[in-house]
Amino acid sequence: MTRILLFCFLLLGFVVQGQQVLPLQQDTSLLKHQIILSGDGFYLSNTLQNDFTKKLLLGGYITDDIKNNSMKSMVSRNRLGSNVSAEFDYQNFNVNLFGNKKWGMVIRAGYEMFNAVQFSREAFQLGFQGNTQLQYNRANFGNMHVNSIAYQKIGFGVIDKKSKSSVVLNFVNGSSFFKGQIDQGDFAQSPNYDTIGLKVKGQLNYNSNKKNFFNGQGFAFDADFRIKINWHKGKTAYIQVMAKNIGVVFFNNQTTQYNVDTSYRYTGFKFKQLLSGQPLVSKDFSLLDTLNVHQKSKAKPVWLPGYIQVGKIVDRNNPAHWQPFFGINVYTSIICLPQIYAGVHYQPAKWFAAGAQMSYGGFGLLRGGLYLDFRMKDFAIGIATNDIYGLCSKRGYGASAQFRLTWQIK
Amino acid sequence: MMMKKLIYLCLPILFFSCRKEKTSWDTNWKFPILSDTLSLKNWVNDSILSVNGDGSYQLVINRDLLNLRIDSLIKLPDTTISQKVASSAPSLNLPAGTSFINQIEEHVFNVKDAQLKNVILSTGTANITIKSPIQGNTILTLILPSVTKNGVVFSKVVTAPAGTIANPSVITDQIDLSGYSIDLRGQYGNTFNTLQSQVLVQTDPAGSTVTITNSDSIAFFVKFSNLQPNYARGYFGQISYHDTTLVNLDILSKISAGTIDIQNSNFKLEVFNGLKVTARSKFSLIEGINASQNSVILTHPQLGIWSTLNQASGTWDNLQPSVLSWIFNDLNSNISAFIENLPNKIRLGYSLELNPLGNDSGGWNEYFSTSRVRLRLTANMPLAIGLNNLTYCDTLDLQVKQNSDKTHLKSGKLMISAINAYSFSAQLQVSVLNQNDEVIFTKVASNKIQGTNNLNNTNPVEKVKSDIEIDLSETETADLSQMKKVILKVIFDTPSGGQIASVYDNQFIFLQLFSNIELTNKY
Repeated sequence: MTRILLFCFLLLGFVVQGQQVLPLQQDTSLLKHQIILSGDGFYLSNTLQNDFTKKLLLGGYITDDIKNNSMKSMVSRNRLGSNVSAEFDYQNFNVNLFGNKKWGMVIRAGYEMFNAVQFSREAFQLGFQGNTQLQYNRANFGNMHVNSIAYQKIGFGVIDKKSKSSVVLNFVNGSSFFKGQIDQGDFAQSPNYDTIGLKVKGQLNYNSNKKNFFNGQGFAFDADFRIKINWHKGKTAYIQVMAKNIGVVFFNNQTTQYNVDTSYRYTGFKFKQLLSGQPLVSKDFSLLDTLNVHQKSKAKPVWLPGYIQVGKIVDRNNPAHWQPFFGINVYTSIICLPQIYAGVHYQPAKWFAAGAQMSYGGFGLLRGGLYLDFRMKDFAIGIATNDIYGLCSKRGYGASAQFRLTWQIK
Repeated sequence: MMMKKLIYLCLPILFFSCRKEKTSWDTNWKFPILSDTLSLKNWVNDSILSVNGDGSYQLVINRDLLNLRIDSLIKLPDTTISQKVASSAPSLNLPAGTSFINQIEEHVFNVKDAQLKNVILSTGTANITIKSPIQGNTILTLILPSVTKNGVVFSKVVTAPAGTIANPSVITDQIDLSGYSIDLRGQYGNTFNTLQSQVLVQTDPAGSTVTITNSDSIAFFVKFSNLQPNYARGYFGQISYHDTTLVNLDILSKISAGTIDIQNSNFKLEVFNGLKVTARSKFSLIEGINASQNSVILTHPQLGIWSTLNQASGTWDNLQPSVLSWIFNDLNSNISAFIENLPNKIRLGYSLELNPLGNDSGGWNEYFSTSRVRLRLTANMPLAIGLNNLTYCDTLDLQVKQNSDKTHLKSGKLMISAINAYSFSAQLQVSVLNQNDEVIFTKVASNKIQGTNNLNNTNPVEKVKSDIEIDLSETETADLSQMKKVILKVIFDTPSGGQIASVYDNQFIFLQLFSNIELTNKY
C-alpha cells in the first residue's frame, strides 16, 4: 500500500505539468447520480528531452550539455506540446430531460491550458545558443507555429442513461491566448559576422490585457458517443467516438495583432550615427517600422484546441480478466499529429484493475503507458501515465499523469 | 477511509504547482556594431582642406575669433518728448468743428557725443499719452513730420472726451516703430539729434459749442523706448570699447595630453572694419590655453600697438569692409609654440576706438545692419603633422540596464578590426564611471591600431591591418549596472616618437567594431 501511495504521489505531482491515457470504461449500470472529477496533464516533444523541458517549464539553469543532448535528436520540424486540464462532471440520471425517460442531465465545468510550438532546429539554435554556433551561418525558421490558450468552460447537456453517450454545450471564457506563425523565415550572416540578414513573413496574435480574467467569450461542444458493436466469439464491445472542446472564443478588441513581411540587412552603424550626440534609437525611431511590422488591435475569434478520439474502450461489466483497447486521437492543432494507441486492460478483481498501452504520434514519438484503477463501494479512483519512461528518465521526451475520481450513487 | 485521505491530500497538489527558480540559459552572440571608413575627403568640401597636385592635403583655416555688432555702441536712449498747448484767449466759445490750435515744436534726443542725422529703426515703440481738460469732445492730432515709413508721415488722430482741469480725460496708445525712418536734422535740415512734433486741436464737428479758457492746457507725451537702429548716419562720436573675451575652440577641447609638431606654420590675423567710420584697434592679449591649463601668449610686433582701421566703402547692399592684416610666422612670432600648445581656449584682449581723430568726416559716419568688426584667423599650410602621445579624451553618457533577475549580459568582448592607411597608430582605453564619477574599472585594448611607418604614404598606399580586443569579465559585466558614463581615451602617435607625416587624399582608415557577448537569458 505504501508503494501504491508513493506511486500516486509521484503521478499526481505531475498532473499539472504533464499528460493522458486512462482508458475510458463503458459502464451501463443504472445510476441515480454520478460525479466525476478528472485531471490530465502532460508535456511531450518529439525531440526535446525531459531535462531540457522540465527546466524550461519548471525553472532551472539549462546547461550546454542539456541543450546539446536535445540538439542531437532534432529534426527539421520539432514539436513540443503541453496541456493541463481539469474537469468536473455532475450527471443526474433521475431527471428525464426534455421529457425523455432515456435522457439524464450533465452539468460540466472545466479548465484547460494548452500550449504547443513547432520549431526548426536552427530556430532552437538561435534561441538557446545564439548565432555563433549556427551551422552554415543560416537559420531557416519558416513553417513555425506557436499556439497557447487558457480557458474555462461551464456546460449543460444531455446523457443517455444507459449507454452514457452525452452531448454538452459549454459556455467558454477565454483568459488568454497567444498564437502565431512564421510562414517564411530566414536568418543569414556572413562568415565573419559583419553582415546580418533577416527575412520574415508571419503573424502574431495575443490578448494584450493580462490583468483581466474575462478576455473573450465563446462556446464549445462536447460529444461522447458509445456505440455497441459485435466483437469476436459472439461478444460485444463498445466503440467511443468523442469530440471535446470543439468551439471558438471571440477574444475582445484588446487583441494585438502583428503582421510582418520584411527583408532587413544590417552591417553596423556609421560613425555619423554614433557621434551625432543623438540616441541611436531616437524617440521617433520604431523598430517595428524599420522591420516593416504592422500592429493593430482588433477582436479576434480563436478556435479552441479541440480533442477528437475514436477507439474501442474497456467494458466495465465484462467479466473477462483481459480486454484490449485501441484507437486514435488528435488535437485540432496544426502542430499536433494524430496519435494511435493500443493496450490491454487487466481486471483480476472487482476492486482493482490495471493496464498498459503503447502510443505513437501526437506531439511525440513512441511511448508506453500504465494505469491503475481502484474501486471501493461507490468510489473509484484511477491514476495513469501515458509515458512511463518519461516519468522516470530525464532522457525521456515528456511526462504525463492523469487521474479520475468517480462517485456513483445508485 | 484511506482512499478519502489520499484524495484530500492529493487535490491541493493537483492545483498548485511551484517554480522554485527561474529558467535560464546562456547564448553567444556576435554582431557588428560599427562599420565605417574614415577619411578627410568629406572635409574638402567644407573649405577646411584642399588637395594639392600630389594628393597631399592643404590645411585652410578661416575662423572668426571675434565678431562685434557695433549697434550696441550706437545707442538711442529711451526719450520722452512732451508738448503742451492752450488757447491764448482768456475765454472763447467755439462752435462745433472749429480748429483752434496748430503748434510745431522741436525736441532733442540726448545721445551724448553723437550727432545723428538719420536713423532707420529695426525695433522700437512709441507710447503716447494725451490729457485734455476741455469740457467737450475734441479731435486731437499728433504729427511727427520727420518720422516716416514708406513715405507716410507718422500721425495719430484721437477723439478726446470731455474733461476738467482737475480731472482731464486721458488717452493712451502704443505704436510699433519698426521700419520707421527718423530724420533728426530739425525743421530746417541743418542740425542733428532733433525731432519735430506738430499738434492740431479741433472741436468735435458733431458736438455742441465748447467754452475754453487759456487755462485749458492739452498735454501730449510720447515716450520712445527700445530704439534699435539698423541704419544710422551722422557723427557717432569718439567711442572707446575695451573687452577681454574667451574664445572656445571645441575641436581641441578633447585633447588632454601629448604634443604635436607642425611644419611651415603660416597664419594670418585679419581685422575687418564694416563701419563707414574711421577707427583704430589694439590687440593687447592673444593667449592660448590648452586642456591642461598650459598657456602660451602669442607675440608679434603689431600686438599691443594701435592700428588704424580705414572706414568701409560701398552702401548697405555692397558694403566692403576695410581689412588690416598681420602675418604670423616663425620669424616674427612664436606661432608654432602657440599652435603646438593645442589651445582649446583663446583669451583675446582688445580695444576699439571710433573716430579717434574726432569728427573728420563732416558728420558722415554710417552704420548698416551688416556692419561688423571682425577678427579672423586664417591658415594655409600643408597638412603634415607629428603626433607624440596625443591623447584624445571624451566623456560620454552611457548606461546599460543590467538586472541579474532578468535577461542580462554575462560577459563579452569588443573586437575591432582596422585597416589603417594613415601614419598614426592609436591605442584605445575605456574607463567606466559610476554616478559619483568614480572609475569602476578601466580597460585597455589588447594592442594598438597600427599605422604605417611610411611618412609619405601615397601611390601606392600602404595599409596595415590590426585586430584588437577589449575583454569584459563576468565581474566587470556585472558592474556595468552602475555605469553612468564612459571615458574614451585614444592615444595617437606618428612613427619614431612623433615624426611629421604628410596626409594624402587616398589615405583612410576602415574600422569594424563587433561585439561578442554571452547573454544569460532568464524568465
